[in-house]
Amino acid sequence: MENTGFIRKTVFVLGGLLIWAAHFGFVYVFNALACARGFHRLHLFGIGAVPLTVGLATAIALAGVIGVLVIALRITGPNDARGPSADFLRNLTAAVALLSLLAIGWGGLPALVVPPCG
Amino acid sequence: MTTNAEHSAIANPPEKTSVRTDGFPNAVPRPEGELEELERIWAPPRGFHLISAVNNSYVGVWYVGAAMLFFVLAGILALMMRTQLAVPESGLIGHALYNQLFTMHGTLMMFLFAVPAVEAMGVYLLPNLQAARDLPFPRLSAYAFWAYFVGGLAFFCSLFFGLAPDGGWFMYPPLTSYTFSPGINADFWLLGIGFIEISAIAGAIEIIVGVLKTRAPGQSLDKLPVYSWAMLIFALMIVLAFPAIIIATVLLELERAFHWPFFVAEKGGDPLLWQHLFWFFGHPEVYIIFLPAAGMVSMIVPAMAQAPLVAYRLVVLAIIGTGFLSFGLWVHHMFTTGLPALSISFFSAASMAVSIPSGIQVFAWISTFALGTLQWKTPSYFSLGFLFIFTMGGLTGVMVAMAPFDWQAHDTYFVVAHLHYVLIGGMVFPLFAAFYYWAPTISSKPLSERLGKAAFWLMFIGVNVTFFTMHLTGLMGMPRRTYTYIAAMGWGPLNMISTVGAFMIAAGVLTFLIDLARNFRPFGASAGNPWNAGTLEWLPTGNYQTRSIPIVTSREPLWDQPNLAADVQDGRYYLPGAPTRSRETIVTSPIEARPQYVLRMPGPSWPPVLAALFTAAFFFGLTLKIYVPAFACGALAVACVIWWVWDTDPGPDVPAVDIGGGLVLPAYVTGPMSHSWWAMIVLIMVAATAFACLLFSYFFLWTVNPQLWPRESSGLPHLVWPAASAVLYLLSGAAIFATGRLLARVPRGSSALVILALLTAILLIPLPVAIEVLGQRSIGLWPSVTSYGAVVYTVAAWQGFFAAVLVLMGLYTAARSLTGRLSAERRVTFDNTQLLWCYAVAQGLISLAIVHLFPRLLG
Repeated sequence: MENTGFIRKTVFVLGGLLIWAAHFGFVYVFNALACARGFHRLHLFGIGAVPLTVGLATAIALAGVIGVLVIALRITGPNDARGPSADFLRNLTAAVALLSLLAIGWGGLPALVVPPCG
Repeated sequence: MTTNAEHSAIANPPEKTSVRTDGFPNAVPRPEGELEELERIWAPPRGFHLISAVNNSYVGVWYVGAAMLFFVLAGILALMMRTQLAVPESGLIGHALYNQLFTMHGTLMMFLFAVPAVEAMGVYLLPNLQAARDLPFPRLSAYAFWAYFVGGLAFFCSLFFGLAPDGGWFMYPPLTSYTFSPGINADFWLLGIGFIEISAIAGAIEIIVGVLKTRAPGQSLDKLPVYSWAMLIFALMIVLAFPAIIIATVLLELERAFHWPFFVAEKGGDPLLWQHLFWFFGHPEVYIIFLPAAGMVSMIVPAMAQAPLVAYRLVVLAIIGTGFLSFGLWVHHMFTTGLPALSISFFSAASMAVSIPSGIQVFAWISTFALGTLQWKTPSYFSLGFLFIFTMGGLTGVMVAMAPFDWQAHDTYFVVAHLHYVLIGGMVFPLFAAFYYWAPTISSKPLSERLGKAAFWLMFIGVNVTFFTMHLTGLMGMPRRTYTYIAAMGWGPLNMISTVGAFMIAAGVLTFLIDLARNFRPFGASAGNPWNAGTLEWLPTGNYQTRSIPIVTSREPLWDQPNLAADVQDGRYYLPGAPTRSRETIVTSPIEARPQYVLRMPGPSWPPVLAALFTAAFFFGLTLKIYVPAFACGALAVACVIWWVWDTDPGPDVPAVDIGGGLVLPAYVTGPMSHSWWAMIVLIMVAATAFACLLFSYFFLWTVNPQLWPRESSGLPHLVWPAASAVLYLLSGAAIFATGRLLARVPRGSSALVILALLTAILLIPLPVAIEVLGQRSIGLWPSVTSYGAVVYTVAAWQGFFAAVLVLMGLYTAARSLTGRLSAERRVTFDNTQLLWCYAVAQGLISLAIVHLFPRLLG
């Protein structure tokens, strides 16, 4: 039934931006806690805990969005069988993913150049 | 002309009968008397009873009119402020009144004009754009309007008694808490906007379900008008943003009324918590206002350019992207609060990222204008004015998104200039474009081109004279919210120029009002389609909207489906009459817009009007601290709501309906197909977001003052207390599930077992809250001593509120069972109760885990 498929399709179309939201929330909360509790001073492999964690989170988020993008681009087949909106939703998913890649990459970048709690 | 093949691709009927052979769902001529019956059923009430009208063509227009009234009132306050500031050391207005003026100006413009105006336009336009007879919950629209209108007027009148709020439209504590604002002025803001929040959320639920479920058959998501996309995202943003301000106002009112210290630093609170919650609402609010306006422009530009919108898919992407990214910007209002540098950078980056989708839309509009042949009419003028002014505001927005620049410009007139460029450009100009563009759909005369252009030029020049100058005043260091300044600062000439500009804007608005008075004649025959627009709102309509509901095969059906208007008017398409002998519309599936069932809709109705009046009276009674009348009004509001919903959920009491084209649709459904189920899911999203904001408050206060959290189990109630609560929650949930199973065995009439199971659930649901409070009291925890106690008791109180609502809903459901209105087939009421019950049980269990287990994990 289309009603139940609606939620699944919506989550997929918005996948990139949902990953952006999760990434954004995580890096913001992590940095706030790091500064409040002082663990921003920790280092691993010579890299600060905050840039390392933010970098890892950003890499994972980017990988997730790329995954969504690849799945979206692989959806093929005659449009009639998938419904009139199928191609539109596929392209929208890919476009959302591309915008999300940009937003996540841009959002994670400051961790490389800005001190966590300065 | 559409073909039978297209019809069958669109329709996925539950039951098929013979298909007509004339290429349309219904044959003509239509049976004699069919149109007359449709007109009779949809006829508006007469005289005084007109107040009880609920359909969108009346409520939508009233709603827009009320929003414009508040725009004018807020504008008059602005003129008073500008007059005061025109010359240095003016004695015209004292500082106390000036504080009230700027607070009320901002509050009226944001809460009583901008959001209601765009919501009102949605209520009016969406059924037209989607060829639905109305939105799915007309009485909810009426309730939202009347609560807003009556409450808004009462709120405004607080100015005349010196009781208006005076802490700025964002009401920062500690200034607005009990120490520095001991009167009831701040309460007027906190409780007074309560009804606006309720009204906005009610409207948002209506719009989400309306956009997803009441579209013309065939109007799949790829053919959805951009305005519908914008309103869908707008409404979802309200669902996600408004709960933050609800929680913020609840916390501040608890602090003011009972001294629960959420924002008092010496008791472990933190004023920054307010800023986080306020701006988590407040920044998306800017886009909540902008997106519908941008959606309007995306409808107006193609019609005025006589060309389809360029890059439709990218514009849809931009709307969705803006909706999401706007939730990552709230801290850019807090750059000067001492947050960690990297945290600020995250928000700075998001602030820049959001300019990408905004830019996509701007380029799409410019390209459409460039590709088409522009009609130099008033809507085009306002649209072009919007592009110029909004882009200017966007550019200064990128400037203040840079933290170092923001530190310099913060709280100066530069920011005043920026926000007015964004809001006037991004919302007011599109709204005026929309008035001139869509007036012919509701008025028998279009508005005047001559007066419209005069209004445009006065407003366009006035805005730039007023606010461009303010950039300079701000860069010279003039702070916001000061009622006067000394001549030696050198700000006098620039302020005088701004004041002259403000009066030019007022002259423009006055010109528009004169135009309205002379030419706007609503509720009769419409003036036709003067712009040769291509979308469905330009079909010929009556109070029932379109005579028949068309099958849509493109984004601009009037351009691409020849003779569509005449065929619709002749009744060739779906549902040309009123087969259930009541108001009705077609409910469609959310993605492909396939017809699913026929929704029977209410006619004129008094209960929503009365419920709204009593709701407004309840909030104002609380504000004025006249508690007995306030709670009496609250009880009457609840009674009116019960009266209102009693005749909903009619059950399958009419046979399936033949709407034409071989489609025979049920007139009653339950479960996930039902529009009612969707509305309850959206309401649960509101509740979940509010709960998330409450949990954010808990963890935020722990982050800033962890020493107040118990380190050992001795500082917490024994685990027996939360365990008992959890068991009771689960038992209550189990009782509701049992009720559902028992109900499935009741074909009709009343069932003692169903009522018994329901009453068990009702009796169980308040107990965990009582146990939680007793448990906290057993260890001597009180809410007014520290922020920890305050937030723990607030979490319990929040759950208590849900328990009270569920008791009410449970009793209502039991009453329906007792009166034979609940059965295996007629169970929408129960399904809604069950959905909220399950959510509340889950929320209660999470509350217990966080309040009792999180501190133990720390220890």
